[in-house]
Amino acid sequence: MRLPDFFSQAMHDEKWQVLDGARLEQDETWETDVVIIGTGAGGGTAAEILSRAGLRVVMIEEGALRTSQDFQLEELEAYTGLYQEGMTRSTRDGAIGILQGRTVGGSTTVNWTSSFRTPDPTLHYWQERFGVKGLGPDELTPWFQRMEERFSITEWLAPNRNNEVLLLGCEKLGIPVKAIHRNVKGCWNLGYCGLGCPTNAKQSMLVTTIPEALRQGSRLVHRLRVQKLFFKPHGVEELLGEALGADGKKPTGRTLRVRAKHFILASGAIGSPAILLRSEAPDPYRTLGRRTFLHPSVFAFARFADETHPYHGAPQSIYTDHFQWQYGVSGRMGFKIEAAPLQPVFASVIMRGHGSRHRQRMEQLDHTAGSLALLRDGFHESSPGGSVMLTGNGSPVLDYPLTDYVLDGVKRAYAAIGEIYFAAGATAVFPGHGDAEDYTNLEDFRQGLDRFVFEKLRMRLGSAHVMGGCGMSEHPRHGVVNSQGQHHQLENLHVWDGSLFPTSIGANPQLSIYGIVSKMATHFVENMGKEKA
Amino acid sequence: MDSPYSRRVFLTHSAQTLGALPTLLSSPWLLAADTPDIAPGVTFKHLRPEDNSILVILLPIALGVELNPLQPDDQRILVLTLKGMDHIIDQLSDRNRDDLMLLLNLLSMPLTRTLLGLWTKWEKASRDEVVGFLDQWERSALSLKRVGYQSLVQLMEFAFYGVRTNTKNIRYPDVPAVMQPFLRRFSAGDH
Repeated sequence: MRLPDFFSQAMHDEKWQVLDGARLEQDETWETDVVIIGTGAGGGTAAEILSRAGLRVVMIEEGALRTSQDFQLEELEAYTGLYQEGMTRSTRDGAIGILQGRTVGGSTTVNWTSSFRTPDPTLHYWQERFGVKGLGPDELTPWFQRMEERFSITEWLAPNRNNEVLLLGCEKLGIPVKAIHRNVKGCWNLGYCGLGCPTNAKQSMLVTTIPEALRQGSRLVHRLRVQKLFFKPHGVEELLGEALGADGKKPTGRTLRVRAKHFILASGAIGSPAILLRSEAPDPYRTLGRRTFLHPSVFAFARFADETHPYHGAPQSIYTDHFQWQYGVSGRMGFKIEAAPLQPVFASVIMRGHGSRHRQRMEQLDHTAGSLALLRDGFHESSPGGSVMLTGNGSPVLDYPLTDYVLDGVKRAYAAIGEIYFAAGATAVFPGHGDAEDYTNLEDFRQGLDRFVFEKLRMRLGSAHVMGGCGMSEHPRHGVVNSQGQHHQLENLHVWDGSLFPTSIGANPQLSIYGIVSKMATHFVENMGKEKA
Repeated sequence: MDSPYSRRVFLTHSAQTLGALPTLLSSPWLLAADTPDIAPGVTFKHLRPEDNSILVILLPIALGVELNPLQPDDQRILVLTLKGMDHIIDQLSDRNRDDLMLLLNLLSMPLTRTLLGLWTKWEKASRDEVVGFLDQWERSALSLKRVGYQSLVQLMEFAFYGVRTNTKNIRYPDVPAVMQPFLRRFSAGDH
């Protein structure tokens, strides 16, 4: 039996212009109005708006085109095929694992669908600290509403047991807790969102904006890595793309050059700065690639007497921001607590550890619950984030020092999750830290936590949200782009993805990217209309 | 030793303290001798027979499972897991792959293996000795040993639980029944 693969079917029936870089037989040069580098949340959103405005658009994606029939829900295959560096990307010192999509639709194809508007305190902070204009809560509300409608973003009211125990624990402690909004339509509640959605329920860029842009006559090239931009006075003239072979990695030797009136960079907060660094783009104030943020995330687990089946059901449907603004916007590190789905590979890695203890934990996976805390970085002087830099072969790496400020957040997040789990009736709690034992009561847990060594690489930390590196500011000294995402030195280059955030968001960032980029892209189209008139 | 850029420097220097790395790598008498090929006829892109001969000892202990490389069913699981590891290694960034292969190399050579904390030959090391080696790396004062621990253990977990057979013993029911008829592995009848 087969489920409909809507993208493949329409690509064939409607003769969409989709080129696989691996099949590029000769070097080519194209001309177009706009070229968008990257097809994730920013690139996809921009492609729909610009193509609907009648512009000729070329979308470029480094990863391969994979559609619903390819999503066979096997962890090893999905992680190695759909994520940057086969899901093994990490910060330079190895301390934080980084999950980023690398396929058509970018991370939106593999994210867990959680959708939040940018918190008001974050937007206020951008205005006050970076002089960002036009992106206040009131100004963005209509754009969030529009994108929520576009991607069917609504509250998910059927938490699985893995989320329900969080709800229960928070309620017992009197901690405010809310339902998460998700971008799904007709979701089967399977729980394997991170491996690609086989039913096309997830309203990722792959099934929404990219098909719409293709219908409008846009072209999509996948398995093509943008190596470099070439500049003219005050702008970009051309890009050079390297075709990648069927393995998605090795250049075939064929190239595609694209000349365009406008260049949109949307390759994510490691990819976008990397392209500018490789191109030696003007960077008079050394802001490029700096202030890159991660929402460093910690993991903690609990066992319950009843079954939890933490691998089945919508991954995230309950959250608490109780600890998010506790110390103000820029005090001690705030964090958001959400559930973490526990398919076996993912669970085994984030639990951390080895030997019989690790195995015993895995053998009780069906009675286990998992949570994560997203630590809000970039709001304090001791949280300057990381820097994207290039390795010898031109590939990027993120240097992100793990400061005591972050480690203080890690410890408090473990404490908070542990307390919630015990309140929910857990029989044992263990954080994803190498020193953690299975604690059977709150007091032992707290005492154990005090004995943990908090230094890098003693615990499992991860990030699924890379932000910044081409930060916004109206002042060129403090940012790479202005409040429209336009590069301060390169007039026809806009950065429209998570890399323009001046800090982290304090929430899963996809809806922030949709809302902010849709506003910027619409404004861009309106301005072009005015110029023509 | 703890600076962020010193990971490869450490690994390289570990070898260099014993002489030039190229010399070591080309000195047959230093290499682990008589390592039987666990997977004759199976092609690996990155893992060499000497890497595999270490991994079949290290992997069951690191994962807390009983697998005997001499027992055919267990051997099949080990080979599948090693194939998975080889595939993941292929996806690593060039920098991370170079570091990992260097680490495996250092672990396979007797002199560097002892320098890195395991005094007994792999094939003669007891379970306790290997566990002690992992414990020591996990908690080492040198962040670079902790990097080695984390990358190697993560890779083994990723590959091991990525093999479907290995998830049956942990009562993992695979995807919800409603989805199963639509997936190739179920319709192909190989589950």
